[in-house]
Amino acid sequence: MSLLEVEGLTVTYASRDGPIAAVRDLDLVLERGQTLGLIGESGCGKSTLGKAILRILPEGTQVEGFIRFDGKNLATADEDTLEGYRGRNLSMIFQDPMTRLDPLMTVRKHFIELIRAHEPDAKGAGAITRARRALTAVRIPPDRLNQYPHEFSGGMRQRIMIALALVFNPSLLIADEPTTSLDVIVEAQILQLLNSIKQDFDMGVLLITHNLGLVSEYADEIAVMYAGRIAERGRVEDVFAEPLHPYTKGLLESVIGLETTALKSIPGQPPDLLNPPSGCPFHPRCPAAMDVCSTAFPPTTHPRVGRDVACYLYP
Amino acid sequence: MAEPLLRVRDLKVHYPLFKGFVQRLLGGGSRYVHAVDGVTFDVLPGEVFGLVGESGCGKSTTGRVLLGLAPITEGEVTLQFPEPERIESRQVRPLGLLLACLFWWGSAAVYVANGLAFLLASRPFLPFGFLASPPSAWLAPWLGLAALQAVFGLALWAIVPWSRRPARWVAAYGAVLSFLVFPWGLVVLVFETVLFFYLGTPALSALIRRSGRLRTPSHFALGPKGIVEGTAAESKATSFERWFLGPRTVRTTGLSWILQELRSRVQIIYQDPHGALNPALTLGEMLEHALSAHWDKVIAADLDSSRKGVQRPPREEIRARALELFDDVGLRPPEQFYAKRPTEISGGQQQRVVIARAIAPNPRLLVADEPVALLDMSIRAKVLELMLDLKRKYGLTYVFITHDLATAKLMCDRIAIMYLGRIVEMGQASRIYADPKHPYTRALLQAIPIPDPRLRRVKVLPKGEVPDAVAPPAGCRFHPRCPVALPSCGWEGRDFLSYLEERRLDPEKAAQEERALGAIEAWKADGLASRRKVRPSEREAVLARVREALAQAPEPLAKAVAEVGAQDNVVLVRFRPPDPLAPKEVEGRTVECLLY
Repeated sequence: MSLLEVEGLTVTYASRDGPIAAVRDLDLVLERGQTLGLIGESGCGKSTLGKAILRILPEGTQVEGFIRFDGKNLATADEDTLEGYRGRNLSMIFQDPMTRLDPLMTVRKHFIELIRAHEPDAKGAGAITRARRALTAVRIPPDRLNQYPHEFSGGMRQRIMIALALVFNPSLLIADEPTTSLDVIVEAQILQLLNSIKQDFDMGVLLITHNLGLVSEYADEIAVMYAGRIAERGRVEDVFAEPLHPYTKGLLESVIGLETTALKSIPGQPPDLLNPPSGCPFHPRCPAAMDVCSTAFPPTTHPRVGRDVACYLYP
Repeated sequence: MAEPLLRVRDLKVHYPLFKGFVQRLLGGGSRYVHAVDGVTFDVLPGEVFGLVGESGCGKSTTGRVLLGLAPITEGEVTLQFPEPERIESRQVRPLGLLLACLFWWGSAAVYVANGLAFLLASRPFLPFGFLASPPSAWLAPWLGLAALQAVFGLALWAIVPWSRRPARWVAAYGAVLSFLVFPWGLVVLVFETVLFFYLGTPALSALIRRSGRLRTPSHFALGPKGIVEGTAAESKATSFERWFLGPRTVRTTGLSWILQELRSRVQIIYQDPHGALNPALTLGEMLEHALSAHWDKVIAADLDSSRKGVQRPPREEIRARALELFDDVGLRPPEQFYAKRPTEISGGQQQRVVIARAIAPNPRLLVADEPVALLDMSIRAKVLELMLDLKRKYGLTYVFITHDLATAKLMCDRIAIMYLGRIVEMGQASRIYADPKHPYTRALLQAIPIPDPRLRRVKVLPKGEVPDAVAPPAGCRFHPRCPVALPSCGWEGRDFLSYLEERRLDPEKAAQEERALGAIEAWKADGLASRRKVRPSEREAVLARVREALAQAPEPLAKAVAEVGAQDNVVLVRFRPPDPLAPKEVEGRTVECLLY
């Protein structure tokens, strides 16, 4: 059994202008010990997917479909069950660590609060030992346990967030743009750390990012999201070597790397989720669009081994 | 080689840290954030010059200095623009001055005439009611006030063009004085002060601006005292004008016409287009504001000579130019975008509007501060391409600020890699990318994620993060993180403490060392030395332990130690002072590193 199986997931936000389907009929599988890079532009629904797994969405948001984890469907699970999973088996780290850490609490207090939330009877000394172990795992001197978040640098704060996520040896870690607010060198440090921790703790990691370079360097699988759906999914080496979906192709061409000599980009604008285009949402920008593209969303096919593509070019 | 457009010499920008009232009373040395700490570079006309570095390296502050948006602590920035066509305009300044000062001269004359008329003809010149009382009661103060008024008028007249602040002090002083002398004088003086300062001065400066001599200076020098404009224009001034207007040094705070002139020549594009656009205005209005504020420069660049000499910006022409700008930045059809508001368009389009607004005043130099960092990948390339197109079309020069080495490689002709307020490597972009010399440049290039899984490799990354700019490391600022540091790079007391801290990451060693060396907090770093108080009985044990730790330390740190010793109850580790560090020419680029 896979660690996480998402099937037919639809997440609809309620807004003043009407319902917005940020994630639409989405399937995804994540195995233990694997990093899945979920890539997409802003507004494609990648963060919504991450939050939907933990069900930390705003009030009034509709979640339909299946999120199978640990034999339960998280999409329909009640609040108590979810509370038991959050921060324990399922951990999440976010983009900006400073806003996630309480500036009035020492790091020690963050750990104690987290541990007591799941184990109300936990002894202080035992909790501290576990906190020190988690800090050492992320290469922070455990002597700094008594300091406040502002006394740490940006990269250190993100390490603390990771340490907090690791306390209960979670089986799934969702990292939502974990390095976007950090500099390149620190970014590389954090992702190297995440990869070594993934092996030590035998976790699955869902790495949500807009940076294709990060996925290519640190993920095993890639899932490309566009307008709330997965356009293409496969092993990182395969997808980068031979992108099949026109959107993946365009995205790979528009990445500016050190080897880039000519500027390329995808024409048009990302879709308006309030009035998404009919059929395949990418067809208005697609260089290979056909008549059929505007009729219905293309079914997912497997033109190569271990590859999912949702495009009429691959019937 | 062409004359540089921009010359930055040993630029330093230190921001003072906020201190509380009590702290300020108690005194002590002020602390500063060393945002930019001695930066020197030139930018040639038509070039794209990249300032590249991580956050906190001072690249944005350097960019802001070029527009007079950040104060200069030390050093000088000079901008030399090609002399533009001068626009002939009427010589209205002397008349304007006369009009503006008429309030003062006129009222003083009325006082004097009134007094004289009474003395000679025994009756007042003007039929003021209170004058019916015996003259002995009011004549002397009246005359005194008249004289005072004349003196103050003269003083204000002389002072105003330099700065308005001292003039206000004089006015306030005069108001108090006239109140003590004669109650009616207060009313008159206050009224006139208001007229003079709030109506007179803007009119005055507007008139000065319009006179031909002072418009469009081609040379700006920004220094710690503010902006000094136009040595070229200065030489053409008559001696009277030079004496009267003085050296036009303007503080960089507040709006002044020299700043306005500078900002028609130098414009900036910020990272976040959403924050740079006013949500209450339509896109067309924003461009019109920029155009009408700098209209004289817009038409100065226009080849159509029939537009010259227009004093007031005509609405239709501004609108036509705004539509042209929309078209230039690829927002088509322009009429449609003219009436839209920022929230109705996407981020990429917003950034295009920001670019259009920046080129509206017809600048020569554009500072682009991370112009595509917040945009989606699929549209970044298009915005960069647009910037290159505009550069060709309008003959612009760019200072391109970015943290992304890949973007810099595509855009820049020359780049400067910055680290903690210093330029560590500077030269032709192609050369630096092909063969980086400074260890920091190498580290940055290595850390960039490569969008090709086949090129995956183990990265040897520098340790830790950028240190605090309040107290930058001694010697080379990169030495604590540098993988190839030398013993002479600037090792100091606090490096020993971070080394001790690092050792504590190993749980076994930590327990032992905590017992032997004490908590890290017990050690104090003080310049080149770090020390700890000990009891005489434990002194030898601590010394032995320190020696042992240093023996296991990385070579550059261990070899930089000048002395491990004990005095009475203090154990001390002292490092050698660093070798002097200066930028050097290495294979066609400037590098600041002791390796060379």
